[in-house]
Amino acid sequence: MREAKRVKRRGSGLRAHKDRRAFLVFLAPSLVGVAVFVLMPFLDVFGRSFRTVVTGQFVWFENYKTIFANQAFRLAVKNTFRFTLVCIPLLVVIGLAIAMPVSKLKSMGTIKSLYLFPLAMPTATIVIVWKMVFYKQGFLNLFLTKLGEWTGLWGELHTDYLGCGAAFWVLVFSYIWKNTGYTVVLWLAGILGIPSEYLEAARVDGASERQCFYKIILPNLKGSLYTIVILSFLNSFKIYREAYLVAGAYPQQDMYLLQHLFNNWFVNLDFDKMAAAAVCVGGFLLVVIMLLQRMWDSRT
Amino acid sequence: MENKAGNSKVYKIISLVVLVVLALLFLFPLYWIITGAFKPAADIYAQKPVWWPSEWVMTNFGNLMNKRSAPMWEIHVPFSRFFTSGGESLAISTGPTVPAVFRWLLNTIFMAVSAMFLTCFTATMAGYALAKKRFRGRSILFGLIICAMALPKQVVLIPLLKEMSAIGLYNTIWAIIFPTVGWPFGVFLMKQFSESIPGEILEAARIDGAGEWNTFVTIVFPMVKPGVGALAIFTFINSWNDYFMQLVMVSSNVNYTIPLGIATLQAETSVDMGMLMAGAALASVPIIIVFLIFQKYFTQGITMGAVKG
Repeated sequence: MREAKRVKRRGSGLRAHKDRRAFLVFLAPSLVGVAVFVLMPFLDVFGRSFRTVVTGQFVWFENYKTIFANQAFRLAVKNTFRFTLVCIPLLVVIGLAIAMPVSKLKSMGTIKSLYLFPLAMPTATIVIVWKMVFYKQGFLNLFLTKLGEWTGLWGELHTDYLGCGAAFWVLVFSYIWKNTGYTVVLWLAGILGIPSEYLEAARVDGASERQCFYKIILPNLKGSLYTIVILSFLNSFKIYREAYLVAGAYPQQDMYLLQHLFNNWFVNLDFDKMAAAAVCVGGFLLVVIMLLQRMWDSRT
Repeated sequence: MENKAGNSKVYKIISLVVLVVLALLFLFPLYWIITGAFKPAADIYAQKPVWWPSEWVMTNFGNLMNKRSAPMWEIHVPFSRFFTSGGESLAISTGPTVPAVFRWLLNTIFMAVSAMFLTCFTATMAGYALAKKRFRGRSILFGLIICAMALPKQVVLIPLLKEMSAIGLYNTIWAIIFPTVGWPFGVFLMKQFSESIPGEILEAARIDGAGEWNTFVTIVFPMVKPGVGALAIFTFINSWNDYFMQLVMVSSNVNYTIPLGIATLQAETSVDMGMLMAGAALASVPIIIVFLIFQKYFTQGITMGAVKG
C-alpha cells in the first residue's frame, strides 16, 4: 500500500517537473503578497528583537530576558493558554453538534446563514450590544445576578460580571458565540464532501444512523478537524478585539490576554519587548502547528 | 421499516426546532441593534429591557447623518502625489457632499469587495498548486505560510506602515486592500479544499491535452467552488472587521471605514446609544446581503459536483 503510494507520488513528481513554469504562475501572486506584506515586515521585527528601541544597539538576548521576567507577560501567557484550552474543544464539539443536523435539512442555506451572522457582525457593533447587556444595569447582568440568587450556583453573588472572575467566561461565551458559525460552515463543507454513495451503501447494508456517524462520517472528517482546530487556535488569539473594546486596555486580570500586552507595548512604543515577545509567540505557534500537521500526516 | 421512518421524522422535527431556537439566540444581538436603532431614547435607557420599540423613530439616523459630512467619492490619479509640487494628490472626480456615514459605507464596501476578489483569485490558485503539485521546497513554503498566518497582526503593523508610506499608499483605502493578497489563511483554506480533488481527474485532463490554465479554470475551479464561496465570505468579513489594520493605515476622516467611523463616534459621544446603534445597524446590513448572495455555494458538496460534473 505504502509502496504504491510512493510510486504514484514519484510519478506525479516527474510530470510536475515538466510543467513547473506553468504552475509557478499560480503561486506567484500569493507568494509575493505574503513576502511583501508579512515576511518582510516580520524580518524587520526579528532584527529589532535583538536591539534597543532608541539607539538601535545590538544587545543579544536582553529583550528576551526582560520579557520572561515580566509579570504581565507571564499573566498574559497563562490566561491565553487557559482561554485556548477551554475554547477550542468546546467550539469543535458545538460546531459538529450543530452541523450534523443542519446537513440533513433541505433548506439549510437559510439556517446556516443565521449561524454565520455573529461572524459577520462588526466587532464594534457587537461590543455595543455586549456593553448594553453586561454593564451594571444591563439586563443580562441583572438576570445573571437574579439567577445566581435563585439557584446559588455561583456561590458568592456578583453585580458586575465584566469586573470579576466571571469576565473570563463572558469572553469565552463571546468567542463561542462568534466563531460557532464558521466552524459549522467548515464542518458542513466536510460533511457534504463525503460521497453520498458511501452512506447509501452503508444504509443498504443495514448500518444504523449511529454506525454511519462513527464509522463513515467521523473518519472522513479528519481533514476538516485539522482545518478547524488550526483556525480556532489562531482565532483564539484574536478574541482581544472584543476584550479590548469591551473592557479597555487594562481589563479585569483574568481577561488580560497576550494581545492586550502587545497592544499596550504598541501604544507605549516598547517595540523591543513587543518584537521579542512576537518572535516567541510566532515560534511557539509554528511549532504547535507543525506538530499538529505531522500528527495528521502520520495518521492518514 | 415504517417505525424507523417515523422515528427519523420525529428526530428531524426536534432537531429542526432546536436548530431554529439556537439560531435565534445567535441572531439576538442583530435584532437588538436593528430594533434599537429605531427606538426613542426613553426605550433605550429604560430600566427594564424594551423588546419592541414603543414607537419607530428616525431620530437616531438623523443624529448620525448630521454628525459629519464628506464628499461621496474622490478619484485620484494614482501616485500623483509624487509628482505634484505640494505633494498633493490630483483628484479627477469628486462626488457631492453627503453625510460621512455614506462615504464610510462606500469605502468599506469598495475595500471589502476588492479584497474579496483579489484574495479569492490568488489564494485559489496558490492553494491548488500547493495541494496538487509536487515540487522541491513545497513543505517549506507551506510552513512559511502557516507561520505567516500565526503571527499577531500588531507585530508587523509598524514595518508594514513604513512600507506603505514608502510606496505612497498610506492613508488610502489601498493600504488595507493590498495586504490581503496572498492572505495566508486563504491559501491555507484553499489548499485544504484542493486536497479533495481526485488526482485521476486532473490526470485525465492532462491526457486530453488540457493546458495548466485550462485545467484550472474548467476543472479545478468548479470543484473547489464551495471552498471559494466560503473564502469569499471569510475575506469579506475579515477585511470589513479588521479594525486595527484600518485604524493604523487610514488617518483622515474621509477615508474611514464604517467600523472605524462608528468606533470613533463611540469614543466621542459615548452617551448617545441610539445614534451608535443606528450606525452599527448600517454597518451590518451589507454583510447580510453578501451572505444571502454566497450561501448557495455551500449547498453543493465538493465531490458530488465533481462526479456529476
